[in-house]
Amino acid sequence: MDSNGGQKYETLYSCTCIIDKIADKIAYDEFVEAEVFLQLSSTPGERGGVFRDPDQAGLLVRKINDLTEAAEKSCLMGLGPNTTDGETERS
Amino acid sequence: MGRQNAVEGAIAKCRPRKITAVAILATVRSKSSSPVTRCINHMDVSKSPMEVGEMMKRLITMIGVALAIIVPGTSTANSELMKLMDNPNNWAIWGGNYTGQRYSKLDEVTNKNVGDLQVAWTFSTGVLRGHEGGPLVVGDTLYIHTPFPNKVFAIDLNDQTIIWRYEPKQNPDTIPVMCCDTVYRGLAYADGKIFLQQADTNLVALNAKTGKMIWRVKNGDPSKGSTNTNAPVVIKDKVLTGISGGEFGVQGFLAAYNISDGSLAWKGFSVGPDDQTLIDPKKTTHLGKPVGKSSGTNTWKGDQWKIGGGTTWGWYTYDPELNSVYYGTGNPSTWNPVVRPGDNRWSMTIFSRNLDTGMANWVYQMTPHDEWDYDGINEMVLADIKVKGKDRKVLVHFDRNGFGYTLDRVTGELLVAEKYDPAVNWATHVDMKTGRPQVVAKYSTHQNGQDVNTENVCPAALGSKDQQPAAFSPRTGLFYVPTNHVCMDYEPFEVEYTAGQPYVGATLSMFPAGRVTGDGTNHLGNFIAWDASEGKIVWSLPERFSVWSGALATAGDVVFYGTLEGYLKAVDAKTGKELYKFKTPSGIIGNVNTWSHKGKQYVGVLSGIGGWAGIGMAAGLTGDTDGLGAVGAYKALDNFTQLGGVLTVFALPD
Repeated sequence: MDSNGGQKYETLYSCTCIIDKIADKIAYDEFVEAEVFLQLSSTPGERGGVFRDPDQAGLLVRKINDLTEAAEKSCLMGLGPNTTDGETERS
Repeated sequence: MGRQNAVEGAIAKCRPRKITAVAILATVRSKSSSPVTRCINHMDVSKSPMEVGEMMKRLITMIGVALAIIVPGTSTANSELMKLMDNPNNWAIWGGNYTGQRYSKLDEVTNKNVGDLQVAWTFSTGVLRGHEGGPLVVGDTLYIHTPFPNKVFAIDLNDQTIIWRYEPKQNPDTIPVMCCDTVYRGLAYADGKIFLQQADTNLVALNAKTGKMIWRVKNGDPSKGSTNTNAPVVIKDKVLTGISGGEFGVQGFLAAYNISDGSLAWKGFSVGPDDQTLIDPKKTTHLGKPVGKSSGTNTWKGDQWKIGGGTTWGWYTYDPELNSVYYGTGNPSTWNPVVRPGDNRWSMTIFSRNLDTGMANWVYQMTPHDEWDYDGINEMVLADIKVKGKDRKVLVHFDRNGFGYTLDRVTGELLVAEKYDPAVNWATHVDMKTGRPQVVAKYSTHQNGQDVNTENVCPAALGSKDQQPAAFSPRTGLFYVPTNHVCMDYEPFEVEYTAGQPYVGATLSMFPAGRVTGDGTNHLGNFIAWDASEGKIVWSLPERFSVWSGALATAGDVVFYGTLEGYLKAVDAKTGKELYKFKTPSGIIGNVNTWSHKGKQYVGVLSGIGGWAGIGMAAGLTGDTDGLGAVGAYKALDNFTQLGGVLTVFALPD
């Protein structure tokens, strides 16, 4: 919510919308596994390596990123940092 | 020499005027505050460092004499702690008691009812990154710590309110010097004090009732790569702590400070001359034989031992009957084995030291001339078990190198050394006579040489197990071990040493062990039950991720551990059958501890894992988020403390 415009009713809606869309496409256990890889892959040093290097890490992180991107496209509807409306797009 | 140097150093920095020899003798005897102790306390702020004359020389001699005269007697300071540890209502030390067994006599929660467990209360630490270690409970108070900046909270168990909090001010420059996340493994309690070992190496004694600082002592120099992540341990009148920074060429040591005033009692280095390692060439043994002169330098090229590593960032255990403290030393620096020929003693070594003097009783080097970063720092669990039909006082140790060792802790005799992950391939076995692992040539990164990629070595550099401590149940006679099931490709390269800069010298890539064993699996961890008498796995539970959480065994025949997905799991101590799981707010790398309050048993664990991707996203940060970018990122995180670590406390419903 914070990254899509703050703690507001609209962002709460889009946030739940996104996670519902993701949940349609991926099993909970797989989602949890992907989240761990996603979060820990940037741990510095050797400890992070075990989350960066395995094949399944790359596959799962790509999958969750693609799903998130697709879900954001259909849920954000003009909200969020990556979308702009006519008013703010000047420079 | 360590002790004398410290006294000498402290005095050299102080004004000698008011000190008399009589006063010093009185100090040593009574351990009360006196000119010398006050002087040592304030040595950092002393403004006139060099007023040293004949008088000082005499004083130093007098102190030496005084220390020699005073027979190390039993201190009253720890009889309180011993009592607290004996009472299972408390969890007064990281391992439950000095044995490090992490076993609780509490039996309200059993393998029959653990499925009914519920969350009783939670506490957010407000600090991000990896939360290792676990809460201490002393009477009505729970003490909990955080990763850098190493906050401490005292929580009233009657209403879960905060009694006091302590937040040290530490230079964030310490963060990039820490090799592997800014973790901290916990506090120690004794004598009405809470001992905090800060990342910046300051060891601090706090008043356990008020949180006010009583004394502080500097244990190392972060600008030269020294940091601390370990939990201190109090034994008798001393608090023991180690040092991190093996990746920065630090000369590792174990130090004992007096709990009354923070003055140094002794310091035993892992590598170096005999007077620094506190090794007696005739009395200190390796597998039953005296180690001989200069054992800490004569397996090093030139004076490489000075930046030789052998850091001591693990856990320390103690046998009161033998008055011996046990711990392991880390990797030799650099990681690149080609440039440091020899066994590199006493890196990768189990140490037994006399608590009063620091002198080494025996040593055992598990991985001579390390070629894979298999630090020997994991905990030494002390237990009395039968080995080959004979009652033995043993030390059991699950090393990063993949071997589970059982040693006689009295003599240092090697009894069992077997692989606790079948994937381990870098050595075929350990020769029981010489104690040496029989290295397989194709997995030797040294024999393959610099700039050659040695492939499919098992385990990976993080070991078959890292620091997360195992548990032992005297009821089942089994050890419960959180493990990694990961292999690697490893390529050493040439590197120059610069103080305060990483001294790694190897590139590695890691993957599931299944890729090497070819069994079609891709899980990264196992949680196993181990028979230390036979050196055999009794059962093994595959875990999707490495298990980086410390285990707990209880008299209710339940074993607890946490997973990186954030599950707290309870399994049957005999069969390993999963009985309960609950998803906490974040991944678990903390240790599960238990205590009881007002007659009710509680189980608590910290969740909160390292890594920057999640944080980066949440904080709206972009760009480079790798380890050395951490300082910048850290500054922006204040507004996002809701993502911080959480202590989750469980109990059965009323």
